[in-house]
Amino acid sequence: MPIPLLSFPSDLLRDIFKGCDPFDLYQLSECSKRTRKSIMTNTSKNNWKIKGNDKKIGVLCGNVRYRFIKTTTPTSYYEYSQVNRFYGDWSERVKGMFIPYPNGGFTELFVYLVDTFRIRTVNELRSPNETAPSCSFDQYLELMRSVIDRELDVERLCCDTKGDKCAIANFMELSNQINVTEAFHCDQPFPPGFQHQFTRFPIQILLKGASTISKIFEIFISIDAEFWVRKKTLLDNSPKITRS
Amino acid sequence: MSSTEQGTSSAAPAEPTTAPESAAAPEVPESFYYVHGKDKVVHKVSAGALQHSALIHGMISNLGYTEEQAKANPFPFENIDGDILQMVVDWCNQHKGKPTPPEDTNLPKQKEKLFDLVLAVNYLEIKELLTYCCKQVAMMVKGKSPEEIREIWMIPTDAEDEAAEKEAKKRAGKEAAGETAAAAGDAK
Repeated sequence: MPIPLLSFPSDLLRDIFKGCDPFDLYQLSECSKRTRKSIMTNTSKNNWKIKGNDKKIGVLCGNVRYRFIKTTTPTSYYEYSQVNRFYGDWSERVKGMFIPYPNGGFTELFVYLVDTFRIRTVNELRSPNETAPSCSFDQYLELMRSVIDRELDVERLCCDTKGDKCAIANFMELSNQINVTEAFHCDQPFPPGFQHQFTRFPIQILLKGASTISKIFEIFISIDAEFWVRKKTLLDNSPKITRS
Repeated sequence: MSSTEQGTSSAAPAEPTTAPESAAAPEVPESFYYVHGKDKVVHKVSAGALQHSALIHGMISNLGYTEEQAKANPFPFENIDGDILQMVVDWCNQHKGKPTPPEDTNLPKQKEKLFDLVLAVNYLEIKELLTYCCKQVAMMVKGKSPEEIREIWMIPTDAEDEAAEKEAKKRAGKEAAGETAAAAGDAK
């Protein structure tokens, strides 16, 4: 017996959507523009987190990870379930669903899910690299701008892209506008004389910079000011870091 | 919404249907109240069972009825079908004085009545039952494709929504034009 869902008052819709997982809400949002709008309006703020690349986008809900896995054949829709065991008794349940990505690819779906589920936290925002070529670097920068526009928190911001030294300036500039809460990793070499002033400070900053003698410096900079000043002297060709 | 026109329609109830009572007789005599739905069939419910409904509980507290007065004036819920009200009353009796377990097996299973039940439970403000019902509604689309969900939850497509919107606008325009013409006629 069908139920006219959209005839329910909004407080009831909120209660119903509370009982739906990200897969249900995604499928529902695909039904029509009105249902997606209804989800966006009637979904209460949640503590879900998102991360992903071109192959899969994960939405973390407590200790369950819902993976939206890319497929080119829409008929291969199914779910799987596995349990990842981590430290001690803590385990993570993983559920997967195969879906075709939209024309805009990974970045379009990422933003679609953020908006539909009203996600406020990005678990990890990682630039495309050889192992995870999620999108072009320009698209990645566009994704960073979307994150900034939506004022999302980012737990880990990572830049692994090799080669394009010009792009790093844009990346570093945008990174200052993102609220990175846990870690900032940059694995890309900086151009000579490059300067950057951090205005936001996560718990951990990791920079890798190749010097003129091809020596790799890897430093962990603590938020502790003294430690920071001591460590930054090790930088050679890396950005000159000053605290605002 | 289905409507069953049975029972008495007079103000005073003839023979109230007695809801199943718990086996253990309470030491203190319990007070009873009476409710009826659209079908006018009166259900006798204990005050303890009615505590689940914030709406009825509030009404009882405010009115301060004696048992005689309560019998003479059953609470009318004209917007609730009789069979739906029966389900709600049964549930309230089964859960009298005890919290609802997370996996409650004594709950209405009829999916065809779920929509009306949710609306009734929401109206009567029975929080635990509402939570369960909403969960049941959500469960209906687990693992379903958008096309299947559209059928189960009667969701129109974008094209249907657009057509309905156009139609509504056209109708509103016609009504506005009609009102203007009527106002002009009155002025003359």
